[in-house]
Amino acid sequence: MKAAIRSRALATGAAFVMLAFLAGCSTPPDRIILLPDPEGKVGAVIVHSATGEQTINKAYAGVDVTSNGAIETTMDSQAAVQTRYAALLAARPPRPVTYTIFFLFDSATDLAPESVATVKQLKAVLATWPAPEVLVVGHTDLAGTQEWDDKLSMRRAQTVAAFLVKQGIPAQQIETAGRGKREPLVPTAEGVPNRMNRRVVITIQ
Amino acid sequence: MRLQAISYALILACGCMAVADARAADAAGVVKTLKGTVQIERTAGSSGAAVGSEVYGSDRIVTGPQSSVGITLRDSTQLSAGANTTLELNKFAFNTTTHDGVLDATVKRGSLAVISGRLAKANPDAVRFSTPTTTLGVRGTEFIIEVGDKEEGGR
Repeated sequence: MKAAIRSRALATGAAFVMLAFLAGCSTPPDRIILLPDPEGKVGAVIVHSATGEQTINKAYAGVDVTSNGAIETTMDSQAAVQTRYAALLAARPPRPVTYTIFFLFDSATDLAPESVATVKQLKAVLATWPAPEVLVVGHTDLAGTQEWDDKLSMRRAQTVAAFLVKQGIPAQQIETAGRGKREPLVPTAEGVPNRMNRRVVITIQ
Repeated sequence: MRLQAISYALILACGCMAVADARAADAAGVVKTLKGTVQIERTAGSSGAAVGSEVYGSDRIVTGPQSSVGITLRDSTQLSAGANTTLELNKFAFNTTTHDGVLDATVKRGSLAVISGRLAKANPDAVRFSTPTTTLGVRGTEFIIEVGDKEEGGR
């Protein structure tokens, strides 16, 4: 009788130990943490799991998601994130840099006089950039049809690309594109000429 | 896309270079930083990554212990994968004129830091990152993904 009670107690104890063991051994959650950009601005990430959804939109806020889909919100400090993910963050590629060159009205060839100085800066940056790619993207103002502006913006990009090649930047590092009037620097009504929107944006990445 | 004159010059100068140039236009991105052992696996075979290596849609990127890799995609999305990571780039397309396209990537194990690019800005719903337990909708900028299960996708 005594032996039976003892064995049941043992079995119960063993079950508890087993449960604790399983809990300790369960898979750690997947973790998502939102970071601010260098200016301190924060976007948002919407995390969907099998059973729920959570939006995170504050710097260093995050969620832990377990394998059964349970979502738990977290809040880290900048220091904790920078320590824990130091190697990961150090591996990030250099942030792309951009330069803008302006054009005269309806012209695909007349560059602003400061362009030569811009190219000088560009070459200095390219000299140390890992596997550099130069994206040369033309833009127009909102005067003209989309079709016309697409072509004009592409011609502007090609003008700048040719200029860069002449200045000694290898052609195989350069990719050109025209965005037409889709991305004005200064928003205006349709049909309005605007100097600031007649431009080529050079991105090094 | 490029200046015709440049293309012709390239073809004249070196036929193989012109071919490499055409491939570059289809690449999803380029390796910019690298530490330790990093493999790029694709159907055609697996190769060690180096700074300048091209990454394509449907590539799988695998990092070893104490290793990392940084990749910039054509839309300026910046990715970095930490140690012991398996990153599957399921789909990538980007139209430089309209900014339409798709980016679909899965972190099977390990960690990934993301700075979203032009695609997420123009077309947030076209960008999707996932882990074994989550799918992320991206509404801009920067975040870290860390997969808890060390065994998932382990090799």
